Amino acid sequence: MFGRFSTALQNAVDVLAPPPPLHEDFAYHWKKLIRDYLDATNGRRLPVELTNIPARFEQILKILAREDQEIEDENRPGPCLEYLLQHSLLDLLATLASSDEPPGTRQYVFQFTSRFLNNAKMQQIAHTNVFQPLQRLVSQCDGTAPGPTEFFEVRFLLSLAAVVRRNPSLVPVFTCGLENSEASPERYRRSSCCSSEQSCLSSSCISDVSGTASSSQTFQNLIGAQISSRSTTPHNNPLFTPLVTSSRSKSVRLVVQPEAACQDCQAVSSSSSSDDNKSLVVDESAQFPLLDAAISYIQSPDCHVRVKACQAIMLLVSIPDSRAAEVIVSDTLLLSRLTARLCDLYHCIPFTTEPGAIDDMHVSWGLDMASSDVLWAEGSRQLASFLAWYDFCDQVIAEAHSTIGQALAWEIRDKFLSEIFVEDTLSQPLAITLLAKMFKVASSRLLNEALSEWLVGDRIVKETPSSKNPTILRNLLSNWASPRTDLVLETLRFFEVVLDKSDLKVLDALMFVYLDSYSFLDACNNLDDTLEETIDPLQIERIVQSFVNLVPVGLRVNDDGGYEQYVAESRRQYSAVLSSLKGVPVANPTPVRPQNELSACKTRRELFFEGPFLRTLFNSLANIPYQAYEVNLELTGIVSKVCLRPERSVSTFLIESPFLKLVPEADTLHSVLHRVATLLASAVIARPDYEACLRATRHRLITEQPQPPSPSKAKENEWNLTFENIVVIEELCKELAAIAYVKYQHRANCTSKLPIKITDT
Amino acid sequence: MSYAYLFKYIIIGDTGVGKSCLLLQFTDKRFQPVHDLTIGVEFGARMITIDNKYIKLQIWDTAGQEAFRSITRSYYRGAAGALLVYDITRRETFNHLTTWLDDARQHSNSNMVIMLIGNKSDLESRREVKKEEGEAFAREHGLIFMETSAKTAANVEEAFINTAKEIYEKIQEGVFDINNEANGIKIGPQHSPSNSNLPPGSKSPSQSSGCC
Repeated sequence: MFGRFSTALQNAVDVLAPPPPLHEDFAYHWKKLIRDYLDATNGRRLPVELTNIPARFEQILKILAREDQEIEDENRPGPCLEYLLQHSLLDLLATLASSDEPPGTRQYVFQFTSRFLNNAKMQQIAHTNVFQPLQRLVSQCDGTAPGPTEFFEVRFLLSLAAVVRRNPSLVPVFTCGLENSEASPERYRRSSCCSSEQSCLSSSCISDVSGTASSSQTFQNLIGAQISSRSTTPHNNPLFTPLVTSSRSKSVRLVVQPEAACQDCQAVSSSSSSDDNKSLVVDESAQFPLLDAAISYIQSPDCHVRVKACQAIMLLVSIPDSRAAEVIVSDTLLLSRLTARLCDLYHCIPFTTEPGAIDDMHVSWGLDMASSDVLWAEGSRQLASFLAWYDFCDQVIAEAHSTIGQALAWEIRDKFLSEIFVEDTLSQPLAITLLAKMFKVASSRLLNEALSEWLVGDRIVKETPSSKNPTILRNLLSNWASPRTDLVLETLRFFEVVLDKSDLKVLDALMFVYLDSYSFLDACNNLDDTLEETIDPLQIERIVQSFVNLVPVGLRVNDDGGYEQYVAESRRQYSAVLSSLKGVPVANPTPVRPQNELSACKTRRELFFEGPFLRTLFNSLANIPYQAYEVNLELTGIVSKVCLRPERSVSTFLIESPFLKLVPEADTLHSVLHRVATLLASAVIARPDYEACLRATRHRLITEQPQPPSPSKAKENEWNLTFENIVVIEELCKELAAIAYVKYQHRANCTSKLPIKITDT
Repeated sequence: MSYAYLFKYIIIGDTGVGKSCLLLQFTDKRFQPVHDLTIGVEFGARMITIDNKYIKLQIWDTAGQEAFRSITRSYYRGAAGALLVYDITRRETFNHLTTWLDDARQHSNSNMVIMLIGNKSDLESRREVKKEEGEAFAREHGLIFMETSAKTAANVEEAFINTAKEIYEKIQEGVFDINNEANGIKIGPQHSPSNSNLPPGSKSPSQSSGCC
């Protein structure tokens, strides 16, 4: 009875004085916010934290969130939001941020706006009274003042980037010809053609209480048109009218779109006439201040800020819109700034950095902040920064619209690789180590292509032995003969990485272009027989023995087995090589030249040249007796990688040569190795204890016991080196025998109708 | 406080399944009923102990929306553990698990430990995905499985710590190469020769969280 009475009483009270509707609450807090502002700025300079302003922001956000939850029709703004739009509240906030009065307000404005954006709907962003203040706020973010506000600014940019990434139809709103000055006349003119009123603190803040702001003028029409046509930049859009007074000089760039991008752009904007293969971006008014603003934070000393800026960049470059991509390539700082930072960070790496540190380091851009946790060795922090940035560029190229990815890859090739890694730099071991690392970690297809093009050029030009033009490749190959062991080692490691990458263009330039015509074969060879697919076990055995027998019998120490010990590892490596050849028939990866073309060689013959790479390789092998053990070891790694290539011409030239008649000028792997082995044998065979020494050296090398060279025993060191090199040659020949065994066994299995029984050893 | 190991985690799954709430519950032991949409990737960290060893967990909480994939894919690389989260009250978040798993497996190192989490176990009345279905999915794909509630904190500690235990065991078994940072594991600074000169302003590695 009593309970019912109290309920009735409560109902009566609610009728007489119901809880204020949300929008009244909203207006109340807003007016209080303005009052707090006026009080705080009235002569005193109170920091914002000592005012009620932060609390008011919090209240306003809470009310907006509540309204958002309660609202039924998602397409109509609720009364609070309507109030915010009608009274240009965001414009007032942009002015507050600009003045930063009371001190610290700026940070709260950016914080408020970020959270507003994270919950906002597209229609709201497209409203004149929203996107214009947003543009004003963007123009206030230039990354030039490191400090506590920086983080809130970049988070605002990220939130806005997220909105645009989710709603690509908003791109035209944010790629306008807005100059970055707050008072830019263009801005006002453009605003007026959108028939919106201007509001600033002085004119409408005080009068806000009486509500003078005119009714909302939305951008719905424009946005509606955007969505319906799916064309992102209509030519009659006032946003895209060229600004006569644009002070910004532009470089007109011919954007060549890759096929994939082209299909994409046709699908997205079929109505746009300029979307053909080559479109000239001459839209003088187009800019993307949001992206340029985000880019301005990439050099912040605060890694949290840097990572957020990178995230914002990543979102904007991955917008699936070919027009946006063109604007980004032609009219923003993306290409130049990303590449310039790569150059800057490269130059910061100290010369004293250990190559080992480079090999071991794994960094990715997004985990940048973790670096504050780790205690880097000398120079490693700079190295980590460089590699993290390189990773970011690689990921941008992978994730961005293909137009942007291609443009950035080319920019990195032309402005970073080509300008930094010039002749002098290519003789510095540290530079070579870094190059090897960059080749190794590059994951995006376009960056890998750019690296390959830098190394061997756009078009493969077949060189002659007398070619002297200093290409990148020749410069690097000349390092192999350097007296500096560290330089030789790092260069050999670089080539090992390059061979591992198996880029066909690079392999073409290194080997295929010289071998694929089989011009190393003497005309008397019966080519049909030579290139016969089937192979019997006896032939395999002969090829295997041709390698084993390269080392004179007296030098062979067969204590720990022959070539068989390498078979398992070679098989694993060969499978890896084969599986990396996607889509290429495994049995005969290289199409053999037609017979009539081969016959043509018989009439007028050019001298055979194995190409600069194989010639340098042969020369280095011939130099084994005079080179450091480490160098020779690294060299054998390269030889086996080359011999593992499944291409028929490579196998014929490098592995089958003892059974073919070659043109007289052709040097072969067998003859080079045979000469070296004989030379080494003649050097030691006179020593009575040479067999014991050889055994001891083998044992020491295989168990990896270090033998520090003693300066007092120079002669002994020389002997040691010779014995070590004999072991290197013997092991190399065994490994090559194993590779030959694995390859021809594989071929036999692929081609023979009758399965050949080959015993695994 | 120094640590023996540092493990890097990522949290992935559809938008709204409670990824950020799980992280907040784990790092700050609190629940926020209304959480802003995660933009990009946020960061949290906490120290735990396994086998009497301090282990620091660095956790990257990723945005679930498709639009953020260009960012989040970068974070798969270099993570030792992943929490793959779905919402037991929304069937579609469970249906998308295969896509998430493919994406994770494609971009991460092959040893990454993946913990499948059915979140919001407090909302039993609105359950759409049976616990057995989660278990079956985990079994089929070689994942660890748990149902959690970021609201009541049920199983939240366990989810993070069991993942760490699994990584720790893999280290003991020699599966993870701890010297290869690409695996998302680092050895603590006491093993480093120059741990005496911490950079000024470096944060205390004790329980802390923030955004990156």
